[in-house]
Amino acid sequence: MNNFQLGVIEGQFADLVWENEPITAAELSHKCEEVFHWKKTTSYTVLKRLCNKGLFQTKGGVVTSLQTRDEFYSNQSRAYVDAHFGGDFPSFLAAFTAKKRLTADEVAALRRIVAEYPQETGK
Amino acid sequence: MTGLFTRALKMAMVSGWIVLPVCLLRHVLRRCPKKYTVCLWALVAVRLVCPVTVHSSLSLIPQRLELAASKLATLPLGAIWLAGMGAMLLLGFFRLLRLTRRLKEAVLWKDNVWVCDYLPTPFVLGVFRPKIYLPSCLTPEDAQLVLAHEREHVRRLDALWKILAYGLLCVYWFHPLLWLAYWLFGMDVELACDQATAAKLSGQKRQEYAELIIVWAAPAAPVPGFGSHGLKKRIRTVLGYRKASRWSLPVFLVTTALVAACFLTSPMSGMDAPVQEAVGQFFSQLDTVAAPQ
Repeated sequence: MNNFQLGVIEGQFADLVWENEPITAAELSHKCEEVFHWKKTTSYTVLKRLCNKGLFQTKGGVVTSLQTRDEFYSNQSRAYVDAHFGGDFPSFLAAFTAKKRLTADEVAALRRIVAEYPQETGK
Repeated sequence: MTGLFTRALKMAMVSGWIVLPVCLLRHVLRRCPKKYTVCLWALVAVRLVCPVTVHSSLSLIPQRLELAASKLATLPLGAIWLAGMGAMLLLGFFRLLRLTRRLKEAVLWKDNVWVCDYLPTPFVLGVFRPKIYLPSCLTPEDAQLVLAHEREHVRRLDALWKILAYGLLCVYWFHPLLWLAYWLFGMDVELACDQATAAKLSGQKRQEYAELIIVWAAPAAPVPGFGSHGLKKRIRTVLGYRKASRWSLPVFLVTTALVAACFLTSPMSGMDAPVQEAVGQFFSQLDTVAAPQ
């Protein structure tokens, strides 16, 4: 499981890849020049770092993702609950709602998620 | 080279002395606005930079210290001195290089403010065209307070003063008192900056600002930043901010002038002999005048 976090700017860079993949590394660095005003080499440095972390890959100069955006952030939230709440989701939820009450819409959405949750073993 | 070393060592031994009275004065004047007390370090800098000193009967620099310094300086230590200086410069250079490599990924936010991932602390870089760098994980509200602090650094030219201080430390690296001075100077720079920032904030904002200092306290660096030293003292300075009394400036000026007169000068060397001679002559003439006819 990936246990790394993205910096805010790295996250924006990753969004560029997710929104535009497959994209050539050259195009990507061109986009970074426009958006971040980076030098060409800088975007290659960041790309290489994220490839090493197993988020993206380059094959024949084309960048694709190994994890989708949703996959990555759902892994992130699970890692967060693991690290801070011992993997216990209810206690995370209790902490999350302690300061600010959930809205009716949020409660309804949660109910729906639970209702549609596939039961693995019939007890 | 050894000649130069002799001079530097002598200057350092004699000049290092001034760190102690400055520390004392800094303590005595602790209720003065920090923008004054931080200037006390200029006394140390002047003493280190200026090889020629005015001789004065007010001087409290022990003459024995100068003698000991000249004796020590005859040892062939020039190579060690140079090596230490080179090491200090290289260290500073590599730290800067590592930092700028990271800063390539910085993104312009507004004006001269840049945002960058994985910065340990906010800071100002550059003297002539200073840029402010903020860690990307700051929330917008926190960023405003941190920015106020960093802008104050820019206004006060702290980047320049810190570079100068580091330069002097590179030259006088062998003097322990000057390491103390460098550390305390870094703290006073932050205190002065905190105080100036706090003066412009409301009570509620001041509380938030104090909390930010705790969060972003970072190890001492040769660039003015947000964290660095003396956490407790900084919190006390910010939360206990009071408008300075109008007596603080005259008191500060008089005491500092006095200390400068006593420690920025050299003792009147060889004054005693001519004076005694003159006094002796005076008395012998008196004798001849008063002699019975």
